[in-house]
This record gives sequence, structure tokens and C-alpha cells, in this order.
Amino acid sequence: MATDLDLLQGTLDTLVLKTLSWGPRHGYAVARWIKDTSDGTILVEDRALYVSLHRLEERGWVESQWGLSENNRKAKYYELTSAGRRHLAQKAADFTTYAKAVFKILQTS
Amino acid sequence: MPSFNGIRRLLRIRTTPRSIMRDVDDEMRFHLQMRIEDLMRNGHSRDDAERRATREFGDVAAARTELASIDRRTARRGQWREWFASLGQDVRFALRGLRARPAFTSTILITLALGIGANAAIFSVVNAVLLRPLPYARPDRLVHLWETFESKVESRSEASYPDYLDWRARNKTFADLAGYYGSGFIFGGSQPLTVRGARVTANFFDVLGVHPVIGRTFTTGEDAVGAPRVVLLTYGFWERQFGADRNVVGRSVTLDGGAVTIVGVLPKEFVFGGRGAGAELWAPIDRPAPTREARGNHWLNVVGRLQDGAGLQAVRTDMSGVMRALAVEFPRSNRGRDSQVVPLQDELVGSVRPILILLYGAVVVVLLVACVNVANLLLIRGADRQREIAVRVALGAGRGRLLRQLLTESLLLSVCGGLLGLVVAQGAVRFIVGLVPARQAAAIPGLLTAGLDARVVAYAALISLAAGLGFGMVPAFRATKSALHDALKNAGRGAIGGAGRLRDMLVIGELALTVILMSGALLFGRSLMSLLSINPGFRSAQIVTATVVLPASQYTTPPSMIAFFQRFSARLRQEPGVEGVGFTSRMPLDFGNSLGFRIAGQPEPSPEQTPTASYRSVTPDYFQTLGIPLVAGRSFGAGDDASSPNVGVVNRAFVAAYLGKLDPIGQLLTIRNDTVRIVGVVGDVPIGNLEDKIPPTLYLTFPQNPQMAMAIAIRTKSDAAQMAPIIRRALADIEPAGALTPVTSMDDLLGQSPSIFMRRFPLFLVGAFAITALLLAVIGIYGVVSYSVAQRMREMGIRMALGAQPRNLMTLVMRHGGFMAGAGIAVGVVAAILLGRFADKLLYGVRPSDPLTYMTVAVVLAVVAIGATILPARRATRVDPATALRTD
Repeated sequence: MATDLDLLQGTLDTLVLKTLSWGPRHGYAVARWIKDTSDGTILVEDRALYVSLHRLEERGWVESQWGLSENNRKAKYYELTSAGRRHLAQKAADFTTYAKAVFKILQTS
Repeated sequence: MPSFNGIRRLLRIRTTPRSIMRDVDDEMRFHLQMRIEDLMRNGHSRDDAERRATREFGDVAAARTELASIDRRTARRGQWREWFASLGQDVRFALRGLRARPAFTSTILITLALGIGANAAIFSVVNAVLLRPLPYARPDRLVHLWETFESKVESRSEASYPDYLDWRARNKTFADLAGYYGSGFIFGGSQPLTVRGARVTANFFDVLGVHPVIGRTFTTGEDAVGAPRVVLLTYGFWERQFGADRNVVGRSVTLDGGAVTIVGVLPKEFVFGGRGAGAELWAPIDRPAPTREARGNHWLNVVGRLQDGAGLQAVRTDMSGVMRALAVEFPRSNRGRDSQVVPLQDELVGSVRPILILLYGAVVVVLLVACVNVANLLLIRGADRQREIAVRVALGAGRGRLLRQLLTESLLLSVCGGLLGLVVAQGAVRFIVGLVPARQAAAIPGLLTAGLDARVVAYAALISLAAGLGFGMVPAFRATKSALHDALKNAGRGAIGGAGRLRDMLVIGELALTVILMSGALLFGRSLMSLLSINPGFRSAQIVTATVVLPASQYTTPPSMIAFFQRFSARLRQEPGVEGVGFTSRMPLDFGNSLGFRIAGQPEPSPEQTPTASYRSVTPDYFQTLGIPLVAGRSFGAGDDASSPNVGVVNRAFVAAYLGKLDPIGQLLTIRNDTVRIVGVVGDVPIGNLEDKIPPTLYLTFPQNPQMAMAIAIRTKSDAAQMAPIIRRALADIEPAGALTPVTSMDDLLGQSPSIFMRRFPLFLVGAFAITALLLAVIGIYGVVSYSVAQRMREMGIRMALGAQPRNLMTLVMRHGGFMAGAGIAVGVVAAILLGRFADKLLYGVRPSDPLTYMTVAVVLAVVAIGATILPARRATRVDPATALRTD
């Protein structure tokens, strides 16, 4: 898993940003969403996910604040900043182009 | 959306390392608990759930460190962002405050722009002349050498050529020595120009380390007698006369009537002061062999480059040794002679250094006065703002935060003031340099290049910041301190105590500084008046002059020169408006040559005691044209020509120095191999500097001493501009190959002479600075007194209610102003007298401790200061007790 981490970092960041694009969430919710949505295909250590969240905060793409979770516990919520939203749009576009290109190459027999 | 960080900032919650760690732990704990609960809800046992959760998470300890370190970086960045954000807030706030008070702000900005601008302007001149190195290779290793007699500085003279050759051969401390002297050239064949130039030994440019932009400099042997004639052009001359043609090298031009080959062009930045000031053409020395062989004939200025490691002291010792040996070998010419070694930069700009330092000092004083004034305005404003500051303190603003807010405001003022100051400086530099007459300017290397370079801008930035901190610090501390102490208690009623005393002190300080400047200006003014009141011994009004130089190739015999000047003189006399024409080899105020002589019937003097006199060759009507009075005997007449016995006229100083009680008329002088009979005595006329002692002078008559270059003195009611074309045409008609120097009036020459100029220049600038300072000081004293009256309205009201007469109130206020004026004047006079000693050399006919000067300054300042307090004092008397008591 650790070897896949580097490969995944940029992609993971994009996925995390995407997760947050519907509104503020805490880290646990982000982890669950990624696992559930990818039907367990994307297996990521939770640690990597948190590193990603904190890095995104360092870069100013997300902001965090403490709030109360659904079961009334103190939880750290992350929220996209407008810079983060722009970054996500850019990344998503890049990734789609890239994926299309890779897919096209793989399709040629 | 209100972000959490924003709230945090608002509540001043600081992110500490410990809180970061705790946050990371809390976050991870929440995650693990949630996961465990989820798993248990899905039927896992607690142990199993915990194991799975931890495994899914990965290395918990490593994650903890990593996340904390990311968060620490984020926090640091946030602090910076916050700092900048609040700085921006401060700046916006300050701008809003300053814009809301346009009168206050513009007063401060104008004050600062003038103070900083004048400073930057003077600094850029100081920078160009004194700080920038001369444009030679390693200029700090260059020196100028003089010969002296009995080690007296005032006896210094050029070196003789044989002495120079021996210096070169015998010294042990110089890398090399070279010589030069200033010389006029006539450039071109038809319609020739007179051009200032210099003649140098062949190695001159090698010693300076100056390389030509094109061509070459001189090579060994080109300065020998009879060598092929060559010349170097300065960059400016090359551009002007040759259109910067790069093929100019090798071309032959006419110089002094002969063909000369151009060998190169000197670099653009090349300048030389001293006797080579303003030289545009540089040629090798061309004196004939007898002149070069005479050890008693002093005409060569010498520069030298020190050997690496040789200090000035070692060189002086070395040179003294050489001169002592020469004195033993050649006692007739060298007994008692020594040498003087001066760093080249000192030699070339030494004479203007005291003036520039003085001006710099004066302009720094102006800046100080400006800063004091601004500080005072800020103090007053600070007092007005006490309520605002108190409110901010009550809302939780710390002292540091308030200080920063106030300092931001003063720095903002100083930065804007500095920028405006640079604009002022840009114009002021041009103006100041323009005040210097062209001839003087050419003699000061670097002056014409003065302008705003990086160093000047850096200097302006530095003084702006220093000023901003200087005038902002005290009011800011004062404002925040009192705000913390008597914040709301006293607000609005205004505490006069401490802040009032401080304001008084500042006003006293600026008055004292003003006294210094005014005294300086007055001392210069009186020096100038003393100089102008010197009776020059001739009339300078309505005299127009220029020098005619004949081509040497055509005028080889005395009769040809005599014939030309007779025709030229007759022609000029016919021109309209010309009332008198005389010729002289040198006009008054011009230095000239001296000659040694012996008085018949007196014992033969030893060589060093040989009497000498300045001499001039003049036409008979010269004395009358210039109004030089005949004291005894007769003037020259038409009968004194080449065929009659030699006659001479001497001045009074000559009689006093050499003839004592003897009747001067009829005395015989032996000059070289000729005998000259004195036929008359005329009044003294200054030779060289106006204020120097007038030397013994001997006039010889032109027909017996014909010259190729003569100055014309024309008495006329027309001005120089009107006469110039007339003179030029007359010359062109009679001798097209003759050259004419620019036509000027004698009054202009007098006004531009170093003696007058060196006083008028500082007088003008110091005077301008003094007036500025006086104005600022008046504004300062007025502001402080008005403010204190406004603050004391209530007190005045009570006094009035208790029966005080308006007169008593006026006295009360005026006493305050009077006290400040008195103290300021007293401190200023003492300081001015102490400082005056440094300006002694720049003064003439007035002592730096001149009581009249200080009395005048004291009276003027006292009157002005008291005048400035009358207005506020009258306001105090118009207080209506009822209103005054009701306020607040």
C-alpha cells in the first residue's frame, strides 16, 4: 500500500476535494464516502487520507473548523474554499483528458 | 461566509504548538471511535473492531507527527497572512484618517517633501563631487605634487621641468609621475575657435589609468622638443566638432596655426579639474628646450601614482629627501625649496568640500526642523485623538497594536513625503548645479553629473524612514501612554502637563536650529557685502571684454603684432557705442605671470630674495579705459615705442614693497638683460582673487612687449551680447585666422569670480534654507500656542469670570510664546557661535562670532515669534466665560 501512496497522492487530493464539493464533512465521512462510492475499489489507508486533508488545508484549498458530529461528538469539519473549488474543477478536467487518452491507447489492439 | 479562522482572529485565540497536537489527537480519536462503533454495529466484537480500525488507519504514531508538522506550517503561514492583513488594515485606516484631514496631511507632506527633497538634492551633489571616486584607475593612489619655498603652503608653485625629471628619476615611492599645465588652443584654420586645453607629459594618461575610447593616448617621446604634433580630443569636443565620427583618428587638424594629427578620443566620463579644468583638447607639452632646462622656471603641475604599499607619509619623506639633495646640488635655484604632496581628490575638489559640507549641514538642519514640526503636529493631533484611542483601548486593543497603528500612519506620511521629495530633488539638483557658473563647474569634477542615482534614492528612502520613525515615535508613545493611564478619566479635557512640555521643548529646539541657519546666512551675506564693497580699483561697469589670439604661424615678428593691434584698435574705436578701447595681456582678476628683476643701485640680492612682480603688457589707453587712476608721473604715451627706451608703470603695492621712501619716478629696473625706467605709478588692481592681497605689479607698454594674445577692454553702454558680433566682425575683417574668446561684461566676470561666487552660492542656498526653517518655526510656535490656548479656554474663562482683564490673559499667553522664543534664541546663538568656527574660512570681513549678526538674528526671530503668538493671544481675550465654562 505504501508504494501506491505516491502514485495516488495527486489523485487522492482530487478525490478528497470532490468529496467536499457537496458541503463540509469530517474526515471519517470523507473516508467512508470514498470507500463506498468506489465500491471498495480504492483502498486507501486512513492515514493517507488525513495527510491529504491537512495538506489541502495548508495550501488553502480547504478550511477546517471544529463542530459537532451527527452523534453530538466534537469533530473537525473540512470545507472547500473558493480557491479549492477552482482547483478541483481544473484537476477534474485534467484528469478526464488524461483518462480519455490512456483509455484510447489501451483500446487500440 | 464567516469562517472559523476569522472568528478565531476576532477573539484573538492563538494557535500554539500544544493546541495543534491536541487537535490532531482529537481528530484521530474521533475517526477511530466512529470506525469502531460502525464495525461493532456490523457485528464485530470490540477487540476485533479496534484491531481492524487501527489496521485500516495505518501507522497512528507516524500519522500524528506528520499531521502536526503540516498543521504547524499552516499556522505559521496563517500568522503571516494575518500580520499582512492587519497591516493592510492599518494602512487603510491611516489613509482614511489622513484623507479626512486634508489641511493637516498636506501641511505635513509639503513640509516633508521640502525637507527630504532639499536633502536629497544636496546629497546628490555631495555624492557626485565628494563621494564618487574620480574617473581614473584606483584614484585613491593618485596625488598632486607642488613645490614649496621654506615649506610654506602659500608659497607653493608648479615644479620646474628639471626638478620634475629628477623627481621621476630619484624617488623610491612612486609607480610613476606625470606633468600637465592648462593651455589655450586655437582650433581650426578659417573662423578659428579658442578652445581650453591642457598640455601633458606623454605618460600622463598612463599614470591616471585612463584609456581612450578610440585610438590611443600619447607614446613615449611625443612630448619631446620637435616631436610630430599630436592631439587627443575629449568626448564632448569629438561629438560637437566631429559629430562623433569614429574615423577621426589619424586625421590632421589645424591647431595654433599648424597641422596636428588626432591620435584618439578620451572616454566620456573623463574630467580633470585644477589647472586642466574644462580642457577639451589634450596635447603633449611643447615648451622649447631653454624653458625645459631652466631649473628656476616653474610651470609644470605634477601628478603621481603611489607604489603599492607606499603611504602618504612615506612619500612625503621620500620627496623631502629628494628636494634636500637637489637644494645641495643646485643651491642657486633650489635652496630652501621643498615639496608638498596632496591626495588628488583633495587637490581637485578640496576647495568646494567645506562649502558642500556646510550646505549639507544646513540642509540636515532644515530636515530636523521639518521633522520637529511634523512631530509637533502629530502630538497635537494625538492629544485630539485621546478619546478615540481610549475607546480602542477599552475595546481591547493592546499598546503594541496601537503603537503600530500610529507608526504606520507616520511612516505612511514619510514615505509619501519621501516620494514627493524625490520629485522636488530632481528639479532642485538641476537648479543648484545651474547656479554654478560654467567655468567654475568645469573645475569641479563630478558636479555636472550630479543627479538622482541609486545611492541618492537609497539615501532618500533611508532619511524618509528615519524621519518617519523619528517624528512618529515620540507622539505615538506619548499618545498610547497617556491613553493607557488616564484613558477615559481625562479624555476630552486634554492633559496639558507632560505633552505640553514636550511640545514646548520641540518648538525651542526648532527655533534654536533656525537661529543657526539664519546666523549662517547672515554671516555669508555680510561676507558678500564686504567683498562687494572692496573697491576693485577699476570700473567694472560698462566694460566688455574678450581675448584675441593671433595665429602663431603668421605673426612671427613683433612689428606684425603691433601693426595688427593698431589696426584692430582703430577699427573698434569707429564702431558705434564704443567709448574707449584698451588692450592688456591679462585683465584684472586674471592670474598672470610674474617676473624677477633687480632695482638699479641696490645690492644684488640672493636668488630666493630676488624681487618679483606680476606683470602685464598694456596699450597706452588701457588705464584710462578701465579707470585705473594715475597716482604719480605719467602714463604710457604714443612716443613709447619699440625704438625708444623701455619704460614701465608700477602700482602702489610695488612702491610700498620695493621702493620705500624713494621717489619711484626715474628708478631703473633690470629685467633679464633689459633696463626699464619707471615713469609712473597707478592705483592697485586685484590680480587673481578679489580678497587676496594685491601683489606688486609692473605694467610694460605693448609696443615694447608685443604679445600674440591680448584681452580687449571696451568701454561702452552696449552690453556684451550686442558687442560680440561687432567685435567678431571687426576681427574677421582684419585677420580671419584670429580667434576670439567669448565676449563677457566685466561685471559678469567679477560676479562669477571664485571669490564672489564661493560666497554668493552658499549665501543663496543657506539663505533659502534659513527662510524655510524660519517659516516652519513660525508655524510651529503658532501651532503650539494656539493649541494650548484652545486647551486652556476653560481656564481662561474661569480667570475672566474671576475678574482677569483681557490684557492679563494676553500677557499670560504671550509669556508662553516669549519663553519659548527666548530659550530657543539663547540655545541657538550658543550653538551657532560654536559651529561658526568651522565656517571661518568661508567668511570674509566678518568674524564667525560677530555680535551684530547674532543680535540681528535674535531680534528678527523674537519679533517674528512674538508676532506668531499675538493671534492666539487675542483669541484668548475674546473668550466668553459662560461658553468656556459650559463646554465639556
